[in-house]
Amino acid sequence: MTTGAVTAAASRHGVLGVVADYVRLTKPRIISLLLLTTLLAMIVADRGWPDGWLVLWTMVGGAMAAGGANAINQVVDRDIDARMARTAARPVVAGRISAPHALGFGLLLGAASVLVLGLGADWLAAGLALLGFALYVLLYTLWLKRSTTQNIVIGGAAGAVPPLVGWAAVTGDLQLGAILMFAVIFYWTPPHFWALSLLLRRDYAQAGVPMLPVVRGTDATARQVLLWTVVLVGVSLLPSAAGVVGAFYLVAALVLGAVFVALAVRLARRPDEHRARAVFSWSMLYLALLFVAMAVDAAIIR
Amino acid sequence: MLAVVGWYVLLAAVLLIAAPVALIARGEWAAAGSARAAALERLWVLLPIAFLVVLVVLVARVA
Repeated sequence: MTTGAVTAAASRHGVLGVVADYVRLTKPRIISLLLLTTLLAMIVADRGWPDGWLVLWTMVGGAMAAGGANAINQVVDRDIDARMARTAARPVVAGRISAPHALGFGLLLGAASVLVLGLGADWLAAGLALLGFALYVLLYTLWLKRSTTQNIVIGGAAGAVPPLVGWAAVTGDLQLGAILMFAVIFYWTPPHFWALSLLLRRDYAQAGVPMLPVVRGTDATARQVLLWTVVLVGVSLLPSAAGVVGAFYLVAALVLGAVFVALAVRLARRPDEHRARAVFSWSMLYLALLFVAMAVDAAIIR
Repeated sequence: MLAVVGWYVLLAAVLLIAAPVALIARGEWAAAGSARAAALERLWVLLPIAFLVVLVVLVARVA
């Protein structure tokens, strides 16, 4: 679609529609979980509620970095998105925002995020946000997504950066607690995304994306979900072993992890969409509750 | 007392991690095949496993 046609489509859509499309370009629902992990890492690092302005600038900067990376992802992946029912209505694919405009918007957000985080929080936090931006765009989107079934395992590092940003914003440093929070999200990513990809495997096959269920099939993917879930539960115990958090978190990690493993076992026994959806839904709640437990333990109980 | 608990928790974590990682490594190593891309595929499998080893060592130093 030409720029003129895009402008005509946008004017028909109205200003509010254009704004809504630019917001959609940032994938706000994904950003909300990333920001939650950032905020809770700040609380763990501070052992309490950090300065309000610091929280504000870190959240704004973090949202801009993630939003910018997501916008560029939608430019690069527009050929894939056009072939998948779930993503066919995205602003760039549908021609409501031109690819150059979306790319410029993404780069602008990424650059602005570095300034906001550097000036408002800490330059290490800014550098880490830029690292997450680069990992998502260059490593995951441009390289791994189209080339290997391990795409979301390695690419998961990008989504695990937000707690590092939050921790660095508070302390100006990275300690073991930050690395363990990064690790929890890193090892949470495979079971989370492979459960989702079981639900979307026909879409991914149609788009030619080598997601695990497309290449190896449903049974093998369900087995991998179970194996990585057990690894995740083991990793989730490490913050307690290191003394970063205490007994409250340990009990929460065991209970939440037991539910996750039970759902993954059920999926591995008979993989179907209903069971994959249960694992996917629980995985999001699991991560949020695990990080809340960590923050409560570090800030209130200890 | 806390240190002793830390070691037990670390042991539990290692036991939970070791068995599935061994299965993942064995399966993915075989699945990588012998094509030209196999070396890269194996690197992608090894990276998260190597990171687990680093994590356990780091925690063991403070537990």
